[in-house]
Amino acid sequence: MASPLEQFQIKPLVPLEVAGYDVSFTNAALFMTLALVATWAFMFFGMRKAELVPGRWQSAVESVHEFVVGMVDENIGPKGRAYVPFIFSLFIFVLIANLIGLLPYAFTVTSHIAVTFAFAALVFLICLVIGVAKHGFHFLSLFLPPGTPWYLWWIIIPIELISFLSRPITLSVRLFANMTAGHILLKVFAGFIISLGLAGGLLPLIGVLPMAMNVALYALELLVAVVQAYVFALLTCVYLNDSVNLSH
Amino acid sequence: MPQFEVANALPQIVWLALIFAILYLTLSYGALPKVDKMATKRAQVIGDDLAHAESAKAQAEATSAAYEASLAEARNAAVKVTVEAKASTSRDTAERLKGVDADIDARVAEAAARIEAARAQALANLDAVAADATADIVERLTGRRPTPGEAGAAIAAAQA
Repeated sequence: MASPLEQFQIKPLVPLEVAGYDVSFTNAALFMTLALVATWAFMFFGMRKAELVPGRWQSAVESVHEFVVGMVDENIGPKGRAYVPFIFSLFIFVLIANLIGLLPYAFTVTSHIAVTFAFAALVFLICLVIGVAKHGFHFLSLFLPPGTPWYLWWIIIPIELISFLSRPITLSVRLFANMTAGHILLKVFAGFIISLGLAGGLLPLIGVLPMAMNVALYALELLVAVVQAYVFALLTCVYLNDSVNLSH
Repeated sequence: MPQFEVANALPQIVWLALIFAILYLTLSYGALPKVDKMATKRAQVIGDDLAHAESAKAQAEATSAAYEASLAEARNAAVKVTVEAKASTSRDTAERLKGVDADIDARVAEAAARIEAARAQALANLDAVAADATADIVERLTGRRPTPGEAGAAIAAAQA
């Protein structure tokens, strides 16, 4: 029986090398492309004939857009409107990658720390650049919340600094760990079903139990797929808010 | 775990950067402005419709108020006309009554004057008749007829 980790294997489909570096088109890249195409299809069919009174598909697209706009408005405020396309892209890409990953035989793009860390690092860098561009040297006040008594500075500043620097790590590990753990669990219970089914006697009957477990887990994983995409986008908003508004 | 194999990182990151860049650019310059435009247009249409409804309502209210006002005005005018008519009628009646009264008074006075004149005349004639009758009586008794002056003087003396 295959290991539960086999599903995370990266397999080069089109070997490619640029300047001595391996940049093969792998199964991961294939599923990223699928997520891109699925997003395009969703957006294209939704807005193909945009009407004042939207149809079902257009409503779906507009609901997602409204959801993201609401999240940005709530967390960043009116200055955040410029970042809606970025948050939207991030949210829909992570969401669709998570959901595609739940299809049988599919590869889950977001179950690799390289991908999630790349996203988190991008968010971190964008926050840093925007913060410095908007507030300059004053951006450092992020590490010293207003109203902090002077005798606590020596401990508050390192805490704030560490929490700021750990953002890309927590952001990436949260998504990666959730997806990886969920998919391993699904695979492990699926393995039980196969093992029990192949065993003799009455054991195949007991196989119903991991089967039921897997159905429940699958529902849970659907929830996790959506919630993690939401959390990723939400935290990006929260971090961007610090850079844009420098509230503390 | 394949996730922790360093060799796997680069090809993923390169393709992710490429694909996410394409996704971001196509969404932010292609699809999302369309969605935004639609949402703005919808909000505008709804806002316009609401404004129209609001103005129509205000207009209806103004029309109703104008109607009420004109109704009240008409009622006031009617009351005024009625009052005026009543007043003018009573004034007319009073005037005519006064005229008729004066007429009647004048005629009464005239008649009284006439009666007085007739009485005075009758009284005057009565003296003459009395004198005449006295002269006749005296002539029958004495055979001599007194002059009218004597008879008149005698009557005046008897009357005194």
